[in-house]
Amino acid sequence: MKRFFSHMALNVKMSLKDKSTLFWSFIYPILLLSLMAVAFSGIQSEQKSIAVAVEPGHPYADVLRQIDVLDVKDAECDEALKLLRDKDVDGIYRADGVLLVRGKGMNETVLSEIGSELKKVGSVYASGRSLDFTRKYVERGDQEQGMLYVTLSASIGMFALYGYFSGISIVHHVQANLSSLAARLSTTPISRLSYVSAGLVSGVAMSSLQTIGLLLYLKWVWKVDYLADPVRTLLLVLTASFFGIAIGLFIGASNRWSLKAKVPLGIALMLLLSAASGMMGPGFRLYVENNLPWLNRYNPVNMISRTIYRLNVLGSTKEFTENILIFVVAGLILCIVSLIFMRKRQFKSL
Amino acid sequence: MKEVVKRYKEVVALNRFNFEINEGEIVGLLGPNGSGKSTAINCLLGLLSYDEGEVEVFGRRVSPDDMDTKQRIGFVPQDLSFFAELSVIDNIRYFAGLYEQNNVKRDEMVREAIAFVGLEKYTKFAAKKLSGGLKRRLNIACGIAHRPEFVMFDEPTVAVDAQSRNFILEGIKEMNRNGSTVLYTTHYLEEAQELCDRIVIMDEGRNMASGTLEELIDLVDPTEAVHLVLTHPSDAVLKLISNIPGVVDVTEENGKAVILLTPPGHRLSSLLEELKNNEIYYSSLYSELPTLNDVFLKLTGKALRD
Repeated sequence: MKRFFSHMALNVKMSLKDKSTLFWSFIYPILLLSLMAVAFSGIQSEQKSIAVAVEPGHPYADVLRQIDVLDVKDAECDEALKLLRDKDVDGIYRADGVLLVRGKGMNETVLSEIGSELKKVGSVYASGRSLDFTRKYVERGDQEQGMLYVTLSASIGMFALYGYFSGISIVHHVQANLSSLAARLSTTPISRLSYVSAGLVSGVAMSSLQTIGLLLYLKWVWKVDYLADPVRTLLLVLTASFFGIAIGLFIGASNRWSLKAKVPLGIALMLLLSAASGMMGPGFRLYVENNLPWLNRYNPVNMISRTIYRLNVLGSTKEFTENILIFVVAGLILCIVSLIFMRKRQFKSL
Repeated sequence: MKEVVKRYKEVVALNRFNFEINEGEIVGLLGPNGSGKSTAINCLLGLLSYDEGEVEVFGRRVSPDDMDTKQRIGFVPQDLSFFAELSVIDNIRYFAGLYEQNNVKRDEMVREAIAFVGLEKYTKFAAKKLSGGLKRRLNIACGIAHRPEFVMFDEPTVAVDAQSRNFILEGIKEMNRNGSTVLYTTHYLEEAQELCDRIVIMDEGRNMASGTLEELIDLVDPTEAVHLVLTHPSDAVLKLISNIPGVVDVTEENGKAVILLTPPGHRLSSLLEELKNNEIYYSSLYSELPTLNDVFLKLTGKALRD
């Protein structure tokens, strides 16, 4: 147990004394979130109301009026066209269900997505199935969150998985064929299970601390409250951090690539998953959700982002338990598989 | 190590390699880069698997899970292997703590190790901020802090300045005097000559020869070359010299007489006496004893640094 704490202290000290780790873990996320907050808060205010004309007879005119993000103007065909030409509205939902827009832009994309949802509803109706009026056919999705919330929650999702880098580092300290330091440590009476467990615990602590710090920063500085449900949010952050480290352990132990390959791989993977989750704006996220819905369902960044948003903005616990369980179970499986990869102590080459 | 064979695919790194080290010895593994020195050490440490043969340390077959043996050995690798972000004292404390759980004893070991490598002034420095030579010293301190009975040094002086090198070599001698058995790999002849009780010459994974420096030199045709600068090295003078007892050959090169004596190291004084008796006068003289390089050249057909 004493050695376990000694390994833990070592890991914490290394994290705190490594300036690049400190920068990428604590400073960079704050800088990035600040930039996003500055950039997208303006867009969000513009986007708060998208002026749109709706022709009488549109089958979902009532639904459209209920969507907060839309500023609906009822107008006949000619009047609607005039409003569009005069740039008083960004689009027209015509009575025949067709959406008419001026060009391509964020507002037009949002109108188009809402239109697509309405068509889905229409096709369900046309297929003869009865509509369930207790269900929301037009989800309060990304369009309503606004870009600020989408990008911030996706970024938090990404940063919560930063434990990946700790996971890789742990393996490269104990697997003799991966680094000279690991080879040296392997000649000592070190317990690898103890070292990995200590690294895991300290990694989860550091990664969670970093994410909680970010959430506090958003709350206090940018007045974006992602800590309205602190207990569940903390649990989510802890399990997500554990999962992030477990991925790092797995990627670290499953192959002999150097750190120079594993680190960029992690960065690329996280950026891709974050983009799919909306970090670069809702466009790619909408594309993924329309074309590869399974990807975002099990995209860990999106799982964190979605859950943190639901918990703290919508006050909903939907998918919370399920996502927590997924992170814990998948993390445990990855850890066990990684330990199996790491069981070997004698190698054909170093 | 008995008849150890280690192959890396087609390359035979250890080719029926035999070697042993007795308690209290400093043994040098001497060979050029790629001769199999590090492979031999890694097999001894249980890090590398091998294809044939036997490897035993303290009379026990080497196993990577043998914690008792690991507790008694120390290893100083060729590459700098410590935590660059941590301070000197934190590094040594961590490594010592892997062997000793009692904090008082551990801290005593740490103090000793720091003094041993002369890093007293740098204990709070981050390891990455040290100079190359000081990093080497830290690398050594991390490997010997727990007072191992058997220490393996894998080319610890590569890319080290002369001052640090001497410090390291003196430190190893001191460790040996304090009871540690030392295995030292190097491709520097001078280090092996200066440090080791016994030397094992390795090439292409084989043990070419082993023994004390004198024993190794005796393995080859031993001669001592005496270079004598004469005023007029006439044929008569050269003939006279060639008749002196112990002289096996005399040649003339640019006004210099090169005299080969055998056995080396014992005939110079009698040669000088004979020169004086025969009134052969010279302006300068120097002697070259055979070196390990001559031995290596003789055994392998190539110079050590080829």
